Amino acid sequence: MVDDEVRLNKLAQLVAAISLALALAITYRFGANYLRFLHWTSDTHADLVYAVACDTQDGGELSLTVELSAPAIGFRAAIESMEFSLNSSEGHYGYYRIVMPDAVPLSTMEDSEPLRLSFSRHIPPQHWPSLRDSQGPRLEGRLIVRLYLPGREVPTRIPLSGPVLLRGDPL
Amino acid sequence: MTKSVKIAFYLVLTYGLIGAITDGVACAAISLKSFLSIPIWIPFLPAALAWIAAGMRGIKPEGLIWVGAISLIGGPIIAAKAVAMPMSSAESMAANFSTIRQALAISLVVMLPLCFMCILVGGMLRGAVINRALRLPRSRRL
Repeated sequence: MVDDEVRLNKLAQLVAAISLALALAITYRFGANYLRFLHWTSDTHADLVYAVACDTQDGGELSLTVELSAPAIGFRAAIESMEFSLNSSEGHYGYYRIVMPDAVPLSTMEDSEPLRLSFSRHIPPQHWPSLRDSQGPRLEGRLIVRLYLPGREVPTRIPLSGPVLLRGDPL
Repeated sequence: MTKSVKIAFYLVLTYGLIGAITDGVACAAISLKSFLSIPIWIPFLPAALAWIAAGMRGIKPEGLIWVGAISLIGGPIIAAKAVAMPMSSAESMAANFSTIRQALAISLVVMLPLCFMCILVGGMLRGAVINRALRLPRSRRL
């Protein structure tokens, strides 16, 4: 009887130790993924290299070049779209969304050189003359990168802003 | 405090803390399920094992209630701290709040019944061994 109790107590200690070890192993599994994701979101940044707006026959055209620097994360990732609005102190010149026809995959297994992306977007006639005549217009937007995490796909938004040069401005 | 009361107190505290850590891991895993590459029920196993161990240890019923209470109160707090800790101070408050809310819901809906059930299973196993309905294998390790 006493022998059984001693063995039961030892078994209980063993089960408790196994439960702690299992908890640590599980924490390691998802904790490492979580820390990599936090590191990626804090260190990823997008810079607007240049944004130039010029005249076309039916409104305007905005050409953009964006540079994306992202550390390695280990999950699959792809640039999906870009959303932005054009503003100046005089007003608002529309909200725009550029969807990539094919998502641009990011190199996520090892740190690599910043990725340069070029976009262009038509500016409708209701915004173009006022944008062309505005003083110091700015682009405020975000680049949407889809991360394929183990559990689900998460869209992450990387902020982006910069001045928009108008045709005739010095580059 | 007599020696036996002290021993009982430390036993309750130890098994309660083990239960709280394993419960915290399960709650954090549910909060961060996007990062989980294993089936969702696996993070519940350590907590279940910890409570079975507490039931098997021969702690008195009132002590077992304390084990459950420490586990179920400590678990969500540990989960919230673990999820918010690596974040910046601006984001950690929001993450803390959202995790503790989710963890409390999981504790009430899943962990509380699981805790009672596992402690009872542990107690039943102990009773079965002591009443010779179940025999532990003769091993030098145990």
